Amino acid sequence: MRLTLTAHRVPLWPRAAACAAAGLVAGLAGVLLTTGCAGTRANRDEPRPREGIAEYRRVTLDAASALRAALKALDSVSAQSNVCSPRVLQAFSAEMQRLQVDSLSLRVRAHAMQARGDAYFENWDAHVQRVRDPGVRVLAERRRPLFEASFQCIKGLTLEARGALAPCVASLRQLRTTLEADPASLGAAPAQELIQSARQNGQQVQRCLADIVAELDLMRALLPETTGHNRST
Amino acid sequence: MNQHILKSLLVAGLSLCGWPAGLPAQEPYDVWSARLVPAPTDPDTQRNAMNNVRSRVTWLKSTAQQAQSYPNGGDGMVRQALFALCREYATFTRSLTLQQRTYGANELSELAAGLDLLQEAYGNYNQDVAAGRYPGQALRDMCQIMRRAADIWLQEFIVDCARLRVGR
Repeated sequence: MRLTLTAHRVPLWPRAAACAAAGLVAGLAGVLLTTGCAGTRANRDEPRPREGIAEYRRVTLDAASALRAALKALDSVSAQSNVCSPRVLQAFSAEMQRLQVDSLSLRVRAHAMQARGDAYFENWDAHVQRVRDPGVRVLAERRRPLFEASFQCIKGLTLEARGALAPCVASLRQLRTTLEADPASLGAAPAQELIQSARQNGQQVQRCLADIVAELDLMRALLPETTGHNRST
Repeated sequence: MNQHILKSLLVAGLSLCGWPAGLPAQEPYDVWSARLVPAPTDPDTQRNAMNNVRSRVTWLKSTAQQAQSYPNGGDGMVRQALFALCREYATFTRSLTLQQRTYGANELSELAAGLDLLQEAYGNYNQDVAAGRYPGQALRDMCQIMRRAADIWLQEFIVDCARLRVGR
């Protein structure tokens, strides 16, 4: 199910989850505001915060690019008449490999989010506690409802993307095995069903990844105002 | 001494049963789970542990490169190298301070998930062969994925170690 950007604006979360998500939110706001200045604000002996939004955006785009290429290669296979040529099959296999590798960073984050649950977001609260500038903490608190809703949405989209990616890759692998054994089986029902399955799941993943990037861009757009306000204080 | 022998026999037995295929990267490998002596967490120990992990990744990549030439035993070579990496990573996590483990909980969880996904690539190889794919081709694909994925994992590991100030 595709989530709209406006459907989650009302913060309806239980208090514990709200605090956990707020920690993540505040932590990210603090991270971005202190990027490049960690040495002046944080104790140099303490672990440094991570650049959450930019990093997450990068791994999402990497996965989206690899998926786009894999689905394009799938289209090339599907466009073959009755026999899949070795050249097309080899290109298809190469893009499958790339998809499995380039989606790794996103999948590990999805795994960690699911394994750690609320603790994943609570961890960010520890990051914002290390931001010494009280102005940053005040601003993060002020923006908390918006950031909180965005991150809960991102988490849901990430898990949904991972849930669709697994069957997509499984279908692609089965299709490859089938065509390697018999390139002339392309027109048969089993191969066509695998193509359809991979395409449907792949398109769902694409929608999720696009929504994730949109949410991240929305969060990033909130920050310049926050940063500017911080400068004015 | 007897405990050491028993431990070695247990590990060998589990390895023969294919246990590394399901090794949980997030749990310490040490089968003797009760540690009477806390693991050292000084910077030198951390640096050594970190370098050992990096060495194991290099070994995994090298093994994956060579294993492609051994269709009858190459998968076992990769499995052993992956098992060694998981074990070394578990040792590395034990060398971290409480503050590092707490502050870097997300990063450490992601690294452990990465090792799980490397094992998943090995599992996919087994599934492909069982589904009738030519073993040599399946092995080559698995080895190529393993090498590239190990590179990505290592990059994340290095960045996270810097963030957590491991060994400093």
